[in-house]
Amino acid sequence: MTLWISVAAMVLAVALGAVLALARVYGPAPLSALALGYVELFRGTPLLLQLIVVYYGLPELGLKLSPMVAGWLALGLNYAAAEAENDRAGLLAVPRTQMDAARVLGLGRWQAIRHVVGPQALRVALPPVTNDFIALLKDSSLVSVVTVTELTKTYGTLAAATRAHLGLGLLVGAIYLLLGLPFARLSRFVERRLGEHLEVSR
Amino acid sequence: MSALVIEALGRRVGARRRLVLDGLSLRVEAGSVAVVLGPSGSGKSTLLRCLAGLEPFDAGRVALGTLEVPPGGQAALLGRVGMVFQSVELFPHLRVLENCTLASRLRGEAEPEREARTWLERLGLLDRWDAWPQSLSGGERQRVAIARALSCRPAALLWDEPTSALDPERKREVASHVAAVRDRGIPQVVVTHDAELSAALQASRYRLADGRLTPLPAGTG
Repeated sequence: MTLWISVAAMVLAVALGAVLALARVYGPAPLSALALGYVELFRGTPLLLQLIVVYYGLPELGLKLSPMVAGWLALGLNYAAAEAENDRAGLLAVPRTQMDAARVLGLGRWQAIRHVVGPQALRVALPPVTNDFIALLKDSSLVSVVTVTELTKTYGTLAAATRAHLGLGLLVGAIYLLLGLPFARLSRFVERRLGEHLEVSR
Repeated sequence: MSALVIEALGRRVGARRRLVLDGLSLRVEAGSVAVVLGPSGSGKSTLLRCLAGLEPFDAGRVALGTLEVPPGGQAALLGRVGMVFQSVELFPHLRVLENCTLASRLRGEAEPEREARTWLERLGLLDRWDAWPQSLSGGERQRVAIARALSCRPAALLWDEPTSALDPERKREVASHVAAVRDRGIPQVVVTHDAELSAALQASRYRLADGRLTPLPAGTG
């Protein structure tokens, strides 16, 4: 449960984050402001509050979500703000003149982003994205407040029943670590592959 | 190839609308070279960016063959006017040949590599086709940038301070690259404050000051 909801939320966060970052860096002023507003709102308020609003608050507007969907949505929307900031840092790390060079060759704005600026930005944005995934994995324990039974919730129930808080706690901690480690390894591998020829900078 | 014609080009920049180009006119015939000299901040870069289609101009017109560009229509110049950047600007995530073929591939050309290979060969880089830009010397990088610009078959070519990043040995080669492009009948504008390069080029020379060009007598750099 923990892993599923985390992966699904991260997919949403990465996709929405990329859109937000593009809107902020390349969008027209109103769109850029809107994206900034989104980031400030979701970064500046507690995830727990967002979770409760999505699950218990939205039904007041007639939108009733299942606990899983509410947890997924709140985690994804919250982390999208963080991913947007990562992607934005990546986009800004690529010199503006790279965009100019691409445009002069006849590439459209979108083509230049997709084929020239984007791939270089990705390399910068990737390490913090992995960091965030591991943070999300841990934050997914918060979805227990909307009645999703994930790892930490299961631990709480089991520990209360067996009174083995310490032993089970260590075990559950180890499970979180094991869930996160493969992604950390994967990230370092991809980073190396992307960066092979970029080590010597201009 | 046809001439590059610039007529009464005007450009104001910044919040204070500072006048950078003030009715600037220039005609560069097919197969000839115009050298533009002038101190930093005289508007040389602005002129090149307007001609490349990267910046709008407020008045005048640019004509290139049948293409007529009025104020605000500068985007039509993108992909038609090549530019060799001062900072070279190779794409670091693409190999040499990919740098040169990216644009033609995206345009869906039938043989995107043909022109690129021709120019890489002419510039002595064909054996480096699969190298990463970071592994090249400064002179090689610039030659890739030249090949990349020419692979798009530009109707005109602009050079922004082409010798500034090169060691003295390599500086002399730039003049021969300009000559090779001239032989193709492509009109060229070379912006520089390198007197040695200016003297080595068979070209008309101008000084950019107060937003206008003044022809310099032959023999001065």
